[in-house]
Amino acid sequence: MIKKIIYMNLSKIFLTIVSLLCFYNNAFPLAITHQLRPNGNFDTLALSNACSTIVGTSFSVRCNPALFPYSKGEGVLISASGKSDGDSIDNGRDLIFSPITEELIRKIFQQKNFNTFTLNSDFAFKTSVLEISYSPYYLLADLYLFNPAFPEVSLNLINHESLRLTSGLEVLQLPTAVAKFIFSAGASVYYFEHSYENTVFSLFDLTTTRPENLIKMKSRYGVGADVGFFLDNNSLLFPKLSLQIKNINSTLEDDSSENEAIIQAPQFLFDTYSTIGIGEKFQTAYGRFDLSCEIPFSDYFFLVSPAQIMFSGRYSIGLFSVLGSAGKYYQNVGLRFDSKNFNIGITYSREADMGAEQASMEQAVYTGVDIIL
Amino acid sequence: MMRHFGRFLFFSVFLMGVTFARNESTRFYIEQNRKAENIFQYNSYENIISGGAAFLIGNIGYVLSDSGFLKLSYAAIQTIGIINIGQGIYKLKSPNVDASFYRMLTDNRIKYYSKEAIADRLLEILAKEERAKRLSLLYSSAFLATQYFLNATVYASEDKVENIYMFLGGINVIIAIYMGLYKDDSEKFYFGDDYDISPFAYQEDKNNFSTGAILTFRF
Repeated sequence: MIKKIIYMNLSKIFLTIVSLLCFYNNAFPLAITHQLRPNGNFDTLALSNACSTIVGTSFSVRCNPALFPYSKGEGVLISASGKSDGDSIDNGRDLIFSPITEELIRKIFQQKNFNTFTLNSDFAFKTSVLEISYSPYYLLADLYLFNPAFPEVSLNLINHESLRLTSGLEVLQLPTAVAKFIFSAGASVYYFEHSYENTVFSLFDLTTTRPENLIKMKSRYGVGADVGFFLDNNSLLFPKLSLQIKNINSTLEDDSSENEAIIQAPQFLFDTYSTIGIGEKFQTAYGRFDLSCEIPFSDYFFLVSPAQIMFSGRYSIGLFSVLGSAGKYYQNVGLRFDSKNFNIGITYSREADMGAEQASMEQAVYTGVDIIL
Repeated sequence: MMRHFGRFLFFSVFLMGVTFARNESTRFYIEQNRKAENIFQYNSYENIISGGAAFLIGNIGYVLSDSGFLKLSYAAIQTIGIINIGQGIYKLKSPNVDASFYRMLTDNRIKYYSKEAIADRLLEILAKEERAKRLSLLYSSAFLATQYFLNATVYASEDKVENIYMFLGGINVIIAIYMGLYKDDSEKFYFGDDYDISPFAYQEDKNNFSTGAILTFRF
C-alpha cells in the first residue's frame, strides 16, 4: 500500500516535471534574449555576460557582486554603451522618442523582419565599502514583423530606470596543501521604475488609429536584488567558481497570455534567473588571460537551456584589452582601449536574439564609453 | 639633585621618542614602498604597446568603417592610443620620486647625506620630472596633430567633421611647438638651455586683442 502511494506520488512529480518541460515554450511564445542587460556595460556585452569569475577589473562587480572585494578603484564613473551600427541609432532614437507611424515602421523593416536597439547608461559612485549606481536609461526596442501577407508588428518598448546599491565581502579563507581557497559573497539591491509596452498590432491599425492610442506605455515600480557567491583559488589546477541568482523578487515576469502567440517575452533581463560560472586566469609578463564559461538557468536553477551557455575569453595588456565570446546564438569580438579618464570599446557581433526562431544571424556593432572622474 | 635627575629622565625619554619615531617612519616608508613595488609590478613598455595597438586599430577602423558614428568612435580610439603613447613616454622618462628616495634610504654604503647631496638629488628629480612631462606632451601633441590632419585631409571624413579635425590639429600644433621650446627652470639648469618660446596674449584696447609667441634663441 505504502509502495503504491509512493509510486503514485513519484509518477505525479515526474508527470509535472515532464509537462513543465513540454509546455515551457508555450509560456514564452517568442523568447528573446539580449546581450546588453540592465547593469551591463561594454565589457559584459563583449563577453556575453560570461564574466562572473573575472576579478579585479572595472566591470567585475557588474558581472558578479561577490567580486566586490577584489575591485580596487574608487571614484565616479559615467558609462554608456549601446548598439551603434548603421541605422540602429537612428531607428532606436525614432522608436523611443518619436511617434510611431506607418512610414517609420516601413522604413525600419526595409531590410529585415526583426529589429532591435539597446542602450544602457549609468553613473556609479564607488567607495571601498559599497557602490551606488544610478541608471537613468536602460532602453530596449524590439520590433518583429510577422505574417508578411497581412503585416503584423510585435513591439516591445522598455525604459528601465534603476538605483542600485552593491557591496560584497570576503567570507572565508581556506589554506590547504595544494591551494589557498577564498570564498566571497556579494549582493546588489535595486529600486526600479519600469516603463514598457509589449503589444501586437497590424500595419493597418497604424493607418486608422493614432499611435498614442495603439502604444500605451505602462509603468511598474519595485525592488529587486542580485546575490552572488565566488570561490577563488591561487592555483591553476582548480577553476574559479561562481554562483548567482539575479532579479530576486522580480515583478517583471512575462504577463502575456497564451492567446497572444507572437507577443515577446524577454529572457534573462528582468525575470528571475540564475547562473553558474567557471573560469580561470593566467598572468604572463606580457598580459593577462581570463577564460570563462557561464551556464544560465531559468528561475532558481530550474531549467538550463544549452543554447544559452556562453564561453568567453579576455586578454589585457596595460590599457588595451581584447574580448571575445561564443555560444550558439552569439559570437563577439571586442576591443577596449583605456586611458586615465576615458575608456572606449567597440564590439563586432553576430547575434540571433530570437534564437532558433531567427532565420540567420545578424551582424551588429556595439560601442561603449566610460568617463572616469 | 632630584630636579636634575628629573630633567635628565625627561630628555632621555624625549630623545628616545624622537629616535624611535625616526626609525619607525623610515621603516614605515620602506615597507610602504616594498608593498607598492609588489602591487605595481608591470612591464614598463605596457603603455606604449597598448597605445600603439590602439593607434593602429583606430586608423584601420577609421579607414574601413562607413558609419559616421563608428568613424567617431575610431577617432576616439586613435586619440586614446596617442595619449597612452605619451603616458608611456612619461613613465619611461619620469624619475619616480618614491623609488629615488627608497634607493637613498636603503643604500647601506651611505649612512648620512650632506645638504648638497640632497639638493642635487632633488634638482635631478625635479628636472627629470619636468622633462618627462614636457616630452610626453610634445610627442603626444605632435602625433595628435598629425593624426587629425590625416583624418581631415587624407582619409574620407564628413565635411563638418573635417573642420573640427583641422581645428583640433591646429591646437595640437601650438601645444607641440610650445612644449618643444619651453623649458622649466630646473630643466634648464640641469639639462642646459638651447632655445625657448613664450606665448603671450594681451588686450590693447576694446577692439584689439593680440596673441602670439616670442621665440628666443640663446647661444
